[in-house]
Amino acid sequence: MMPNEGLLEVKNLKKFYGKVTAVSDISLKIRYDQVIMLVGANGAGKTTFLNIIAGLTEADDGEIILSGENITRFPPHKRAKKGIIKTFQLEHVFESMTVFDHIRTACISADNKHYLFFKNINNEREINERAEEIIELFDLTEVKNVFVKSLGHGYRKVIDIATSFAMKPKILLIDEPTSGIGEEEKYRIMDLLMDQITAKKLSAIIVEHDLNLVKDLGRETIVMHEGQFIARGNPGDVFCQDNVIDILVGRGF
Amino acid sequence: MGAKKVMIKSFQEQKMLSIILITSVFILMIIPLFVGGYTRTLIQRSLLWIPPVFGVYILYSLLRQVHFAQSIFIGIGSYLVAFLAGKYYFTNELLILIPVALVLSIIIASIIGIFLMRRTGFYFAVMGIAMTMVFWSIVCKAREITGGTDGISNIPNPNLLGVQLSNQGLYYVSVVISVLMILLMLRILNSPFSLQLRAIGGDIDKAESIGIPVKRMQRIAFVIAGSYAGISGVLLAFTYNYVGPSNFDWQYGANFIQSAILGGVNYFIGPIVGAFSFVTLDFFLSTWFPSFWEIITGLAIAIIVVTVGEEGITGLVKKFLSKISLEGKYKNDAK
Repeated sequence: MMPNEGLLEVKNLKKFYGKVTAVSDISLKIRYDQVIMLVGANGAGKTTFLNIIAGLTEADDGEIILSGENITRFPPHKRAKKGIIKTFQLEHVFESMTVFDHIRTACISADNKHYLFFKNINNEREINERAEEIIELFDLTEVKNVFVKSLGHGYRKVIDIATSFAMKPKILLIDEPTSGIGEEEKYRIMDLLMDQITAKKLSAIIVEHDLNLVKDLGRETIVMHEGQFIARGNPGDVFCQDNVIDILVGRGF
Repeated sequence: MGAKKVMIKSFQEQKMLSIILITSVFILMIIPLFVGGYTRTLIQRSLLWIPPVFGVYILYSLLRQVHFAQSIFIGIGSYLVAFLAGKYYFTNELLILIPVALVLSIIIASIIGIFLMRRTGFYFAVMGIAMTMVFWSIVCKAREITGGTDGISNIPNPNLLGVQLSNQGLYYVSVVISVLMILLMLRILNSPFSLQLRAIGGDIDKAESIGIPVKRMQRIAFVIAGSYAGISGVLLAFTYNYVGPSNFDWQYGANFIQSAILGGVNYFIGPIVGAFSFVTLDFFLSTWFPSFWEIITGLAIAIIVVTVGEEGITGLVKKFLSKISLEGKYKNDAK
C-alpha cells in the first residue's frame, strides 16, 4: 500500500442524543503514521466521535472506511481485529490479572487464538515472547507478575496503552491518556506513548485536555466544539485563533 | 528475579496439585475394599456432583455470572437415561448414552445460551431460574411420557461394552469419568481460552475493544458448563435408579452454586472440596435432623459466606495449614 494513501476515512458522521447533537456532520481522513491531537471543552463530542469509530456507539448517519473497506456496520471486536484500537478515558483494566496476563490476553486476541481450549498458555512461545517484548518496551518489567488491582493509577494507564499495542494496531484512538495523573508523570506517559507510536509508525487520534501538553508536543491539532471541527493545524497557530480561545479558555468580561 | 520466584512457585503448586490428584485417585480406587456400599454410594454421588459444580465455577470465577440453569442439563442427562434405559427400553449401554447426552446437552445449551447470554449479571441469573421453570413445568405436565411428578423409577444398572455393571462397577466408572473431567477442566483453565474468559469477566467493554468476540466466548463457556452437567446427569440417574422432575428444579441448580461457594471459588480444588462437603453435609444432616436439616445447611453456608467469602472451606484449610507451617518456622528460628 502507498504510504500516503488514506488509512481511515470518516464521511459525514452524525450522532444525536435526543435533541442534543453530539457529532454533527464530521468528515476526516487519516493517513498512515499521522497523529492528530483532539481538544475541546467537556461535552464537545470528542469521546462520542472516538466511540463511533471504534464501534462502541452506533452512528445515526455516515460511513467509516478503513483501507478501502466499509466497516460502518462492524461490531467493536471485529474493528479491533482490523487494527482500530481504543483505550478508555476512565480506567478499564482487568483487575484480577497480573500485568503479564493482561498483556498476554491482548496477544492471544491479536493472534486469533481465542479457541485454544486444551493448550497450556505457558507453552505458547510466540504469545509469551511478544508479551515480554511489550512489557519491556513500556518499562513494566518490575511489575510483570504483580496483580493489576494492587497498582496505582499511573501504572494502570500505561498498562492500558501497552495492552492496545499488543493488539498489533494500525490506528490508535486514545481517550485522555493522562487524565487524573500528576504533572511529571503526565509528560513521562505521553513521551512513552509518542515514542512507541513513532517507532511503530502508527496513526493515532489522541484526546487531550492539557493544552500546554498539546502545545509542547507540537502535533497536528483539531479543536472540536458542539460536534464540529472548528479549527485545525499546528497547535501554536490554532490556539491563537479568537474562536478557539473563546471556547477553550473563555474570555474575561 | 521476582519473575523467577513466581515461576518456581507456580511450578511447585502444579507439582503439589498433581501429587494431590494422584493420591486421591489411588484412595478412591482402593476405598471400596474397606467401606460398605453405603459410604461408597455417598462418595460416588459426591464425585458425580463435581462436574456440574465445575460448570458453575467457570461461569462464576472466570465470567462472573451466577449460573442457576445447571439443573436443566442434569435433567436432560438423567431423563435420557430414564427413557432409553428405563421406560422405553432401548439400550443401557454407557458408551451410547454418554455420547448422546453430551451431544444433546451441547445442542440445547447452544440454543438456551443464545437467549441467556444476551444479558449478564443479575438478569442472567434470573433468566436462568426462569428457564429451569419452563423445563420443570413441561416435564410435570407431560405426564404420559415423563411420569409427571412421580418420575420414572426402576432404572437398571448400565452396561459397559455389553456387560451389565454391578454397583461397584458403576462406582469405578464414576471415578474414571469424573477424574477425566477434572483433568480436562484443569487443561481448560490453563488455556488461552480461559484467559480470554477472565478478561470478559473483568471488563466486558475492554474485552470487546481488544477484539475478543465476547458473546460467542460466553456462549461457549455456557455450553462447556452444560455438557459437564449433562454427562453427570446420566450417571446420577443410574446411581439413584430414579429420575424425577426435581432434577430440573432451580433449587437443584442452586445446590451447585452453594457447593461452589462452600468449596471456595478462588481455588481450582474448590469445586471438588465443595461437592464432597455439600453432598456429605446434605446426607448426614438429612438423616440426623430430618425435620430441620435445611435450616442447618443454610446456616452453615451463610456462616461460610460471611466469614471467608470467596475463599470457602479450601481457603480456611489453606489458612490453617500456613499458620501451622509458620508456627513451625518460628519454632525452628527460635532454636
